[in-house]
Amino acid sequence: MAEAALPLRRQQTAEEILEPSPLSKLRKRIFKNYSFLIGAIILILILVVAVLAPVFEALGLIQDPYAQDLAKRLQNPFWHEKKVDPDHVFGTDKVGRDYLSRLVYGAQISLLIGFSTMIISGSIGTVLGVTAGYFGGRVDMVVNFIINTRLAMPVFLVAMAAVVAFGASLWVVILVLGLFLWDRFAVVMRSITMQARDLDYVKAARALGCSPPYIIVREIFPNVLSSLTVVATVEMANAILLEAALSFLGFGVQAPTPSWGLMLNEGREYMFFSPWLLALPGTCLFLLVLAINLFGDGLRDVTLERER
Amino acid sequence: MLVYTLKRSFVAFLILIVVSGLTFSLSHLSADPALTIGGEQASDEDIEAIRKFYGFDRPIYEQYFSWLGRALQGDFGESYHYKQPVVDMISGRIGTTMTLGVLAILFALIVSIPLGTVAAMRPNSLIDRFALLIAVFGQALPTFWFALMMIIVFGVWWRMLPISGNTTWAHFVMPTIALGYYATPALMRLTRAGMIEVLESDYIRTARAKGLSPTSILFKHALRNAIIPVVALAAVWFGFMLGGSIVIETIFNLKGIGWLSYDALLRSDLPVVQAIVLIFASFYVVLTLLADLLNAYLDPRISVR
Amino acid sequence: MSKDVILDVRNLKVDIPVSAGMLHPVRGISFSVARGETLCIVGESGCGKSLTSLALMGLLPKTATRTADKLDFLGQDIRDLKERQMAALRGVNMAMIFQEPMTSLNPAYTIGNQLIEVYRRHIDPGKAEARERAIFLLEKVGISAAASRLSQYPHQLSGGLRQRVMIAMALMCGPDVIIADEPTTALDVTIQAQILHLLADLQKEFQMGMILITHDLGIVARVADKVQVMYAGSTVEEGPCQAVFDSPLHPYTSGLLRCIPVPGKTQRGSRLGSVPGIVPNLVGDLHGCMFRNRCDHAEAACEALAGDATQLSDGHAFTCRMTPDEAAQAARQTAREVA
Repeated sequence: MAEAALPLRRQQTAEEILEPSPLSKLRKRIFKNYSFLIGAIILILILVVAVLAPVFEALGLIQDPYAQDLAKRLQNPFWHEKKVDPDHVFGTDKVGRDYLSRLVYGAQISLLIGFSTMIISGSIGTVLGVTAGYFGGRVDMVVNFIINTRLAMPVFLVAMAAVVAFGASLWVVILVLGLFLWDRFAVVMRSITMQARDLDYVKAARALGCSPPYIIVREIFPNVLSSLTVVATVEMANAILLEAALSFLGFGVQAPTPSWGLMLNEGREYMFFSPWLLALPGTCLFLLVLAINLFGDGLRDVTLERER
Repeated sequence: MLVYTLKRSFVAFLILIVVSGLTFSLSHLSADPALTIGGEQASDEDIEAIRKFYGFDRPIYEQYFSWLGRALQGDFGESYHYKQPVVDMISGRIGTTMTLGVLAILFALIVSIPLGTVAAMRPNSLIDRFALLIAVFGQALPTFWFALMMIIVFGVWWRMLPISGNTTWAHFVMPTIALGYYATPALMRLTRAGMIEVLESDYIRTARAKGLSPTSILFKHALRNAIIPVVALAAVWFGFMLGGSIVIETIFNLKGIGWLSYDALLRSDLPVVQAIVLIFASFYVVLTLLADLLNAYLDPRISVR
Repeated sequence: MSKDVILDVRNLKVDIPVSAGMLHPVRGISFSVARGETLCIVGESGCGKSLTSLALMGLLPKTATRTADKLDFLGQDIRDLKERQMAALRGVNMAMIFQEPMTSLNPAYTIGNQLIEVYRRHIDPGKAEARERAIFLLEKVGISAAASRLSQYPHQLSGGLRQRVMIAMALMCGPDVIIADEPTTALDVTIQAQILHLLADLQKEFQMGMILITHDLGIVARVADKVQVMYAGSTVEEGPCQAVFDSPLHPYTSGLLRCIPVPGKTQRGSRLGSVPGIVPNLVGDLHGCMFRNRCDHAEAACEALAGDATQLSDGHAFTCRMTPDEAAQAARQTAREVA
């Protein structure tokens, strides 16, 4: 008929017209990956420095973060006009420990806390959220109540109280934060599981009589994975900030561990004359959290792009 | 609507009971308060007598319910350290914390709503990018460090503002900014997203078709609808902020209940800590409840579910 | 051209840059509306009807550009008016009724508030007079207990009532022309006829010009003075309602017409016609007749068609390579196929 006689240009559907072209998609992705890229680069840099800290120490690039030298207390960092000690580019703290070495080892502590907390809270939150979302009804009501109860607890105050109760140490801080920061995991996992449960192929699996654990692991979990990673980055950043605040108030990691929060605590009495004691660990903290956030934001954009 | 309100209120009350029960057992199971009260010189007999006197020898749930019973009547016991009624200690200080909290949330709203609105009106413009940048940086800035840096810059170098105490309004400037900016990114993003959605809505097109002035379209028709969820979120953030006031009050030596809780924790003064946890939790629960009811009132479909 | 022409449009075009290139959703539309006259623009979804109406109101999306050889409203050239000057015309001289009554009213304000504000903005800032006018018009559009309705919120009203409110709102300042963009699409079938008859009655009563955009030909037959058939952004046929319905010339028009059952003529159980295929993509350089890939009478010449309309004596015009006689022949053939 007419169409055969008159081959027009291939007809695009309305969706194709409304859909942004590959070019603009690419431009968009580059722009968004910009933040992803920056985040990833800073994050990898911090990660490498933290992991290789003992190697750097062995190579003599940094020093023992615990070695005190009372003769060289509060040395100025390299950008200071007067009296700079070439052995300590970032100066020394109040008992003469090399500040650069402590900052490098501090990255280890922050990453360790962020990561361990995220694993614990992620497991709790995911189990609760997926269970609530999959089974719904009463189970959902109970889990919802648990989530709301958790949200009503003033985290910081209760965490401080728990640290007082169980004694301050790195692992107590990790455990306490892990037991507290699962709320966002649970909320997000719950709603995504609810959506995934209604997908046709999940319905089909249920109709075929597959067991709930099988369906959750095989059919639903792949769907929640990308959101899970995004929440994980947010909570990791959150845990790092909370640990720093706890340690800063003296309710977290204890001396002489080189935690950035604790370094801020120790530097506080010298803040008026040696402000770098505060500026440096704070900047590290800011950069790490910024990198994790950028990485998470970028990850969300990239995975959303892929899922469409 | 009434049934919904009652149901939500009951759940909120239940949450408070559970929260207080958890805190109570957490603090009482781990440390022996008798040792704290007795001090270091106390003999074994003294400790035993203190245990008997305060009832620490009774089972934990018995202690909890007697505490709860009194707490419901407004009696939170006596501070172990200061030997004063906890209610008096808190009522003398809660004003400071409330002032700080209200100022901080107002600061956050005053910054985030205009910024979010302008960003939404010109998506991808320079202002939009700038707002996004602020949000990203703001989220990564540790509150307490930001506070310390402000003290160094504005308090010490430029000597513009007092750095400690709560005698004048100037004392509240830095604490307000330090506490308030943390809520800004979330509120700004919500304002922006809400405004973008509203500006594309059919009723804004209707308003334009009616030839209304741009000011009327923006303020009367768009902003009001976009702002409702922001206000609801701000209510929830206000609850969070009271928790955040612990760090800020400690740094600026503002003697509100945040500072009091820090002081009480240092002295293992359990009655004070428990009372403050319950107050913070109540604030959060009540504000969330109000936000939910506000949403249900504005969208009748919610309460039907 | 009679002198009570309210709106005169020549060669109206709308272009929207999209990622794939330049989209040409409206490609040279011309028409005029006189006082007391109803022009119906018909065509299937996506043929540029709604954008035409938005272009007239100056409500196009920011990225879209509007061009026209002539765009006269009440004798004034409105092509280069500033937004502020357009805003002064909208609501007063030209009013619009939208497709979605459910979402076109602001949920945060009472309907009284939304009715009154347009009057207060344009006519008289006093409250009492505006309120009176609102009650008068609510009664006019058939809403009972009008005074007490003023304090109701949109979500308390049904879709049909909301559309009546929208109509009353459009009439608040006594507009010269009213543009109704598929005003009944979102409503129940039983309500549709009521609303359309209401619109037609009000248009006669207030002697307004009306542009009714619809894809429901049954409605057009009843209310239109003039009909404009749009396909893929341009006019394929236009003319007096009677002429277009009785002797459609463009294959698209006749195709559309055989899609509607005619009481008494269409036999029970017989198949209604359809126009196979979809509206083509309007991105990039376009040439020739856009209907050729769906037309039963397409030939190689269609690809080179310039797009000039063939004028008939009574104002009836169509755009096709076929002569009027050929076209009439083809249309009869189409009609026979169905019957």
